[in-house]
Amino acid sequence: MFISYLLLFIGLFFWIWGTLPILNKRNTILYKLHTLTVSDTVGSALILIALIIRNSTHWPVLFICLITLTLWNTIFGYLLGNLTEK
Amino acid sequence: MNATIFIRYLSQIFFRLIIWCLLTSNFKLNNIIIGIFFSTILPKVRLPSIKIRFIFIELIKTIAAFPSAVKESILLILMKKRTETFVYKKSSVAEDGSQFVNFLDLFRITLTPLTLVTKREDNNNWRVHVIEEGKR
Repeated sequence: MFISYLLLFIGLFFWIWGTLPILNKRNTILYKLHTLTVSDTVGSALILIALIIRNSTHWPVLFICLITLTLWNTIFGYLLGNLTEK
Repeated sequence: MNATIFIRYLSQIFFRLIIWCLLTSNFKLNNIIIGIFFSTILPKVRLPSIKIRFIFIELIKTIAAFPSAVKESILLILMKKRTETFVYKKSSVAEDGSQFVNFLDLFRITLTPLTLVTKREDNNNWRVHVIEEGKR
């Protein structure tokens, strides 16, 4: 239970840390994409792992959430990075 | 020759069965039988014609990228001064190679927070945006 709370709070910290630089106008768009990888992919994955530890009866659905979230976030990161080259 | 085709077909059925069991979150025998039924009546997909061992190594490398993603995000948070550069990174197969391995390679690079693929530069290289520690 302690590990679950620890992972939840680390994930929440990653979310906040990664999302706030979007508002800063000095950062380049590619740097924002890097911070969004921290928050969206790694932070969400940590929160989902914490939820699996907390309530292990729902692990199949949460596991599918984990896989699809990392897939979508990574591919959208690549897509937006590719658009900056056009 | 026929044995490898059969093993490929079996792995495809097994993959669909795993997704079915995870989606229904039910691993009982009657649900597995329904899952086998559905995964056999779905249309066959053309599988890439490369060695299974090569795909296996690439999958292991992809799973190993998850812990390094956590490590690199902590490095990015602790970074004081940073520089942003473009580097060219060699891809594991050429552009006209297996699509699945290309996808896994792209996924692996983009998953880690310090590197981000922006486009394919030529037949053998990715153009990768990298954040490094150093003067701004």
